[in-house]
Amino acid sequence: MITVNTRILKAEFEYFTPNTIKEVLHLLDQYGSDANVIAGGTDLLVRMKNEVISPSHLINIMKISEMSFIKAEEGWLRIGAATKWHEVVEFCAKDRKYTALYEASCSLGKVQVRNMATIGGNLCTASPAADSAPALLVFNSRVKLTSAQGERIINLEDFFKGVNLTAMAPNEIMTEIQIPSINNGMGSAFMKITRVGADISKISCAVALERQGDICASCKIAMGAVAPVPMKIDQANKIVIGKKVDASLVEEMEKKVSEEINPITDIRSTAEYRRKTAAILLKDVFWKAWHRAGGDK
Amino acid sequence: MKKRTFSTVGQVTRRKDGISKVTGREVYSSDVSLPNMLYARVLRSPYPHAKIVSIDLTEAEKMGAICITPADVPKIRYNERQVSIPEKTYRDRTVLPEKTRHVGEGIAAVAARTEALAEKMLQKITVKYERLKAVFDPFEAMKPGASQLYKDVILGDVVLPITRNIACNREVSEGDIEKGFKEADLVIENEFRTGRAYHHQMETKAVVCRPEPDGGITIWSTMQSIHNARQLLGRIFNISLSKINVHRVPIGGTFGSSIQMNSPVAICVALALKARTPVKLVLTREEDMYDHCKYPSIIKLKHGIKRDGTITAGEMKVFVDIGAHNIQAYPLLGCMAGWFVSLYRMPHMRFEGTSVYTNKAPACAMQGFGNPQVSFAVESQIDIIAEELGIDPIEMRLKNYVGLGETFWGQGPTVRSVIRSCGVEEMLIKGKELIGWDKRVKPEEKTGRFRLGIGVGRSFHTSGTGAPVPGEVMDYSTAMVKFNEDGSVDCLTALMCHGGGTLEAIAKIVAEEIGVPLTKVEISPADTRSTGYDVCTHATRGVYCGGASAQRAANEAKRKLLKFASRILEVNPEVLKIRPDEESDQGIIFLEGAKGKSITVGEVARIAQIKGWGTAISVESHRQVNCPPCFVTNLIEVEVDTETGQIKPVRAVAAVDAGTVINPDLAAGQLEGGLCRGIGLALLEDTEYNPETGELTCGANLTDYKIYTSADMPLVDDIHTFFASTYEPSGPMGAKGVGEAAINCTAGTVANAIYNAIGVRFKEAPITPEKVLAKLGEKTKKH
Amino acid sequence: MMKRKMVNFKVNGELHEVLVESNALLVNVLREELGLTGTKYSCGTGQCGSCTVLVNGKPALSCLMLAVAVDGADIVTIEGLAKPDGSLEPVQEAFLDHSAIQCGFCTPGMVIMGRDLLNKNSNPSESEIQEHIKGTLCRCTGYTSIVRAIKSCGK
Repeated sequence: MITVNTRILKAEFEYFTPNTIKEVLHLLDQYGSDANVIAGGTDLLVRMKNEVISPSHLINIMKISEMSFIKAEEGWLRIGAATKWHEVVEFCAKDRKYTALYEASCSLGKVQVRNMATIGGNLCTASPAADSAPALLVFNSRVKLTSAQGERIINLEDFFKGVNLTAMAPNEIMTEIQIPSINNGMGSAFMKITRVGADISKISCAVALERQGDICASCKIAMGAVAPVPMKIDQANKIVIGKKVDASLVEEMEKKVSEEINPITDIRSTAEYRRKTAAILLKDVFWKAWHRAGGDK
Repeated sequence: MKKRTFSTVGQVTRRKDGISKVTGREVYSSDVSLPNMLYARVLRSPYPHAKIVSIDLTEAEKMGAICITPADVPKIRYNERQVSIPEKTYRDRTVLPEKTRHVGEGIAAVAARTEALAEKMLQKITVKYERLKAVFDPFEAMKPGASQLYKDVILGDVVLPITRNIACNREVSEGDIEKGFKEADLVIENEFRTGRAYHHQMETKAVVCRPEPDGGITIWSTMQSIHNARQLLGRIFNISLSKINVHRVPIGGTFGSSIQMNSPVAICVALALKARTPVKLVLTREEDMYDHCKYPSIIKLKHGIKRDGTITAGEMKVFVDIGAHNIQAYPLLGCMAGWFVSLYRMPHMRFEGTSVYTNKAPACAMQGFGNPQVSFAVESQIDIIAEELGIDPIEMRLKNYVGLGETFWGQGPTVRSVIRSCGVEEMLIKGKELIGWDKRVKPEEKTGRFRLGIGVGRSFHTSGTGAPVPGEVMDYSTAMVKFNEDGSVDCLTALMCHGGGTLEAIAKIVAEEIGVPLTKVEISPADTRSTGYDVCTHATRGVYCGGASAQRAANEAKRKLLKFASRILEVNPEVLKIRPDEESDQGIIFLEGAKGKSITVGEVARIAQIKGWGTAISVESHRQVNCPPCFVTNLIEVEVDTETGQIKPVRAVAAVDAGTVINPDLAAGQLEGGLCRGIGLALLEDTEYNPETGELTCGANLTDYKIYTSADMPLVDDIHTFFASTYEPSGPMGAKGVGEAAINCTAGTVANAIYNAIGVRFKEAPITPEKVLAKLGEKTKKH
Repeated sequence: MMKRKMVNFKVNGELHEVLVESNALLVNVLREELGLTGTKYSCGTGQCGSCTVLVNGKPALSCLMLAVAVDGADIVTIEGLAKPDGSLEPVQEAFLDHSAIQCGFCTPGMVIMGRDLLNKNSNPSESEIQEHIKGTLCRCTGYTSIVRAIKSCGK
């Protein structure tokens, strides 16, 4: 839009810097949908500059220490929603089990963005192309939503409701992402196709699977930018589960995935291209994960 | 001619402006800040084509806004680039228009204490528009009954009616084209298209204007020619040129985007004159993207060829969608004819060019000025012909290129000169070895998902627009050189450095010509008051034309200095020489073979001052009477993923024939940058418009207008640059240009490499993965 | 009228107390209030990296940061990279030696990214360099000389 001025922020708002989740919830109860939570701001401020949203109250959650942590306990990897991406990258680099999440985190934006943006922010923006979503989906992640009335935990696939739409109520915030612990034999991978080096994906895909020799014991697939929400692929994966995996079986899965998705044409690519490359990307990611599950690097 | 040996020219040195750039201390136009400065914002049209019925400023002015509307600005029609002779200059714009012709055209402006306040005031202005039908396709625009952007424009001093939205036509022919095609064994005809890429210079257009108490104005702005701006502003605002001072300011990239006086400049001046206080106007990225783009092209190309590969005839028909204003379509078409005819020998040729107005952002020069477009078509076509005839593409080029002793008229039919230095063969032969051409196999012999392909392409650019007979384009430079009393030297010129090191080269030429160390020469800050006319730093003319004037000024100042020295040393001035001296860290004047007969440059200047002999100083204006081609050659290897259509450049050889290379590392940097941008033109960059709204589909921001990143380029060791070993007799120290040449053949080379990889010929750039997959799909269906 | 807030932060080692409006962006406060124009606006949407500064030691985009959000932070801009005695960082020297500078508009952001990488990885590979600086756009150089310059600092 020609009226946009990205050098400054035209929007005017009242700004809060609460120190506790409780304070945030109090502010949200008070201002409801007039308020927006701001974390890293790398997406929110762009949308405000572009005049897509104009909240009258901004609540910065980056000073809340109880929202920024990474803990592995009781069968879960728990990540505070305000944890920055560079911390997720550093954690995953040490604990190599969550390979798909590691690859997704490394591909997210660029160094500067990963130093600012948070894991919760990437999910709450609810972009169909959110890089972290497919990786988190294949690990069966859940998110904890908190309001003054209490907490609820929902599966990530139920969190996304549409382009920039989530299951979150105006008085709720996401406080935590929970990823089930991973068995040592699991292999996973994430890849995306972009226009240039640092870019929003045209299409992205994550796979997590387990093997028993040549048999695929379990397989989860998720894709980004192929539908209004990052989506779990729950038909194509069934083709390989419990079967001896070979190239022709994977080819069958490729065909299936192109039918399952519902991509659009936009500035980044075309529906046709996305449909064609979804199959290729799945093939590439699947084999990567397959080899990893087999103990290959 | 024998090559000279040099002490400064050709040395790798740290660029003089490097220290301020690397520490963040360089002051660009957008960094200029003055006391009592106001910030301007421009109200821009949301419609592609509309009459402005009324503008209501009441509410904005209540807030204290300084406002201007079309009613407040001079009515004079101008072209923001006046470097062509007046009778070839098409004038179609005013400071603010009464009718808007593209989305984003400025129609009113405000100035206020802060940018945020100016934005608020803009929102209070109400404009009544009468919407007109808009045209976005050049062929639709030429149909009878299509909505007309202009009733008339001014050409020279004559009112020129505009029909069918045709901004201008140009036809050039030599020989008898029909005869040429009759002589051919084979006629090959193809249509090629290139996109409307955006310059994407990192600094958006910016201007600061300070109105002076005497009625004059002082300007700091992003521009390639300060004198062009001064003359224009004088004309538009009726101010004496002696009261307009335009400063040369370091620029954050241009690539042609500031080849004209940019549209915000006149708006800012009008505001400052009204406000009577300095005003700053820096475009947002969104505004900048609606302000200019590259000339797109549709090229119908026909060649007649004999079985042995001799070209008998060539015909090119070009359509250029210039958008809403005609900035330089007439010279562009002349140049496109020139690029075409000067690439390969054609006894019979014909060129027909048509430029058409549409309701889009106005196109202007972008590195290569029509040459990347022409070379994309011609270099693709040469490969098509070579394959048809079973001739090696490099042999085909060696057989037909225009070289030594032949006539070159790259800058159009009126700018002709004879080629006196040529490294075409050397570059093709050496490039062939470096890329491993002999191992290249045909596409049908390749299998697998990832296929490598090697392509070759060659082109050139002109070094300036000089010629024995002055043509339609003005071209001369002025430089002043003077000696200081400590042995240092000042050089003053209105030339501009776009980043490529033009001023660095000027310093080296001056140091070399005089014989002082480079550390002793500085390029003075320049403005229009203190410098003689320089047409513009464009057309790859900085070193060749600007350098020649600096060399002459240096030579003349040196002559004066030696005269002083001869009085001190009591010898004839003609026998004295100057060489850089390490011990005194300056130039030393000496008489060969005579001990004791020597003195430093500083000592002479100091004695001359004390004795009242004067300053050794000289000012020279000079027009080059040649415009030698700087030839360029690319060999590029790409890897095509046949399943995703993604193309990755993996290796590249880039060579230029720049004559003597003044700044080797910076010249190599030009080649590397040209490669990156050229690959972008081939594979990635274009702008499209929504036909409903007339808006850019990329949203006019860098989120969805992409350029290549570091991660998309081949590794350092896989990029090989080199220079042909030539010497241009008419150039300063034997030098020609580099600048624009660096990009000219890249897109064509990439297209040829893709063909070699997968056997699919793409005739439309950018060649996106989406297009690749679609074509590969068609190909499989056919089999 | 928005409420103004007093913000305290360290810039290039010096403490600053600045009164800002809630919607003031860090890039503009640095440029306009503190006169540190080495930090550039180019895209405004976090795509080009020209506005990169170090916030608490980490590169961040000042065009997407509210000044109120960096209250208490330690910020280093390109002007603060050289040592107090004026001597340059090795990466700055390398940019000069390898002619990794053309128009210079991206240079501040590039230099900061180069130093950030070298701090974490004293001997980065070419691919690691390409990856690290890929969010900082340069239209002039094609990146080759920049990669070369950063690589030369490796030990």
